[in-house]
Amino acid sequence: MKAWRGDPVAWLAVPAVAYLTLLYALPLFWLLLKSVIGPSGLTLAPYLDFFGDPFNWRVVWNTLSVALWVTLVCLVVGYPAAFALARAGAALQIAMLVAIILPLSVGVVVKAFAWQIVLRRDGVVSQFLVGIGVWDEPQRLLFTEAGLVLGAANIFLPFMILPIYSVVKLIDPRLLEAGATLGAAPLYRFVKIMLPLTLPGVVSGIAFVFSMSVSMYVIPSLLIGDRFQTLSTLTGRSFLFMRNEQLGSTTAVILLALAIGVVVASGWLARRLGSRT
Amino acid sequence: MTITEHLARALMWIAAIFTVVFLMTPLFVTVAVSFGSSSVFTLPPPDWSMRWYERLANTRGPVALAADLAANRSVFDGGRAGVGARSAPSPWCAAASRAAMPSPRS
Repeated sequence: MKAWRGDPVAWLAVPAVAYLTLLYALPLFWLLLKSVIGPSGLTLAPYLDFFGDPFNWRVVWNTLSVALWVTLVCLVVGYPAAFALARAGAALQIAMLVAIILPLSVGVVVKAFAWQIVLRRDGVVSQFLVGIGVWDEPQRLLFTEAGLVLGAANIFLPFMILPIYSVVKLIDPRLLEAGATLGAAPLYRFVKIMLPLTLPGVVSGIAFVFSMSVSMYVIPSLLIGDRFQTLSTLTGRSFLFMRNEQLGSTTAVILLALAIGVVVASGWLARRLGSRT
Repeated sequence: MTITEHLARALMWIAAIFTVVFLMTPLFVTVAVSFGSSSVFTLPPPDWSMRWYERLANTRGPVALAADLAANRSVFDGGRAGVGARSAPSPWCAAASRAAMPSPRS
């Protein structure tokens, strides 16, 4: 009777595991199976066909480049903003928290429609850029890659700020003071003390934003349209319009492999950086 | 404070204010457009009006309202969903049946 000596508390995980197995793992396995089973048994032909077509390489490139740009914009804006959120006075802190939390309660579709208005030729962004003299004449940002990156970065920015903020908040400010009394210059203090301590937050923020922007479907459909295909819009198209389930399963599996790669790599990076400091 | 610290502080403030403006833009636009008179999305609207809110008040309940917005009024103009909704025994029933009715626009 003593064969299984595990913690009985582990049984509490059974409902969650059963739920995920039934509704998540099995359909996923079925999808994977569907992409490798041809009319005559197991085959890799769908993958060879997919990568044999230059259009599909373009789709993979579109997906990765947009996701990287969105992640970069979120990081550049979100990193200093997270510091401001952690160190600001009460009034600005409340304003920032409201600005970060409130948009999360509004649906993605509503926000994407709002960006459709903002990014038009006569929209706010275009008027602003003409006003400060960056552009000579109004230009349309809607249905361009720049517009897509701007809209997606807006929707995913909270997921970059919040993990970094939660790390910055816990850093003891006396560490920087100690560095200063020992004669370290401000830039040196930042690179040697602040940056390593905030890296776990940065890594998890990047993992959040990248994995969400690599698989976004609604935002590209509304902000750039069918002209610009990504892996998730191509998956949707092949299931909904082209009725090509094999192509849809193949693109879904490739997208899943990319997302898992990013999550595993960022976890490995976080552990490595964590053990170094 | 050194010049580097001043620069870092300024950068932090700029990022904070940009973040607030940037994140609130879609919400502000959505609210502003809802007070416009135009039946398509434009900003600034040709005229400010409460017509969408009046329309909202003239419907029979919050759930029916959401369903009507989703179905873009075609529910009210008769046809598809009218039968079940109008012969329902109570307004709540009607609302629920309308809410459950899928519409191609939603």
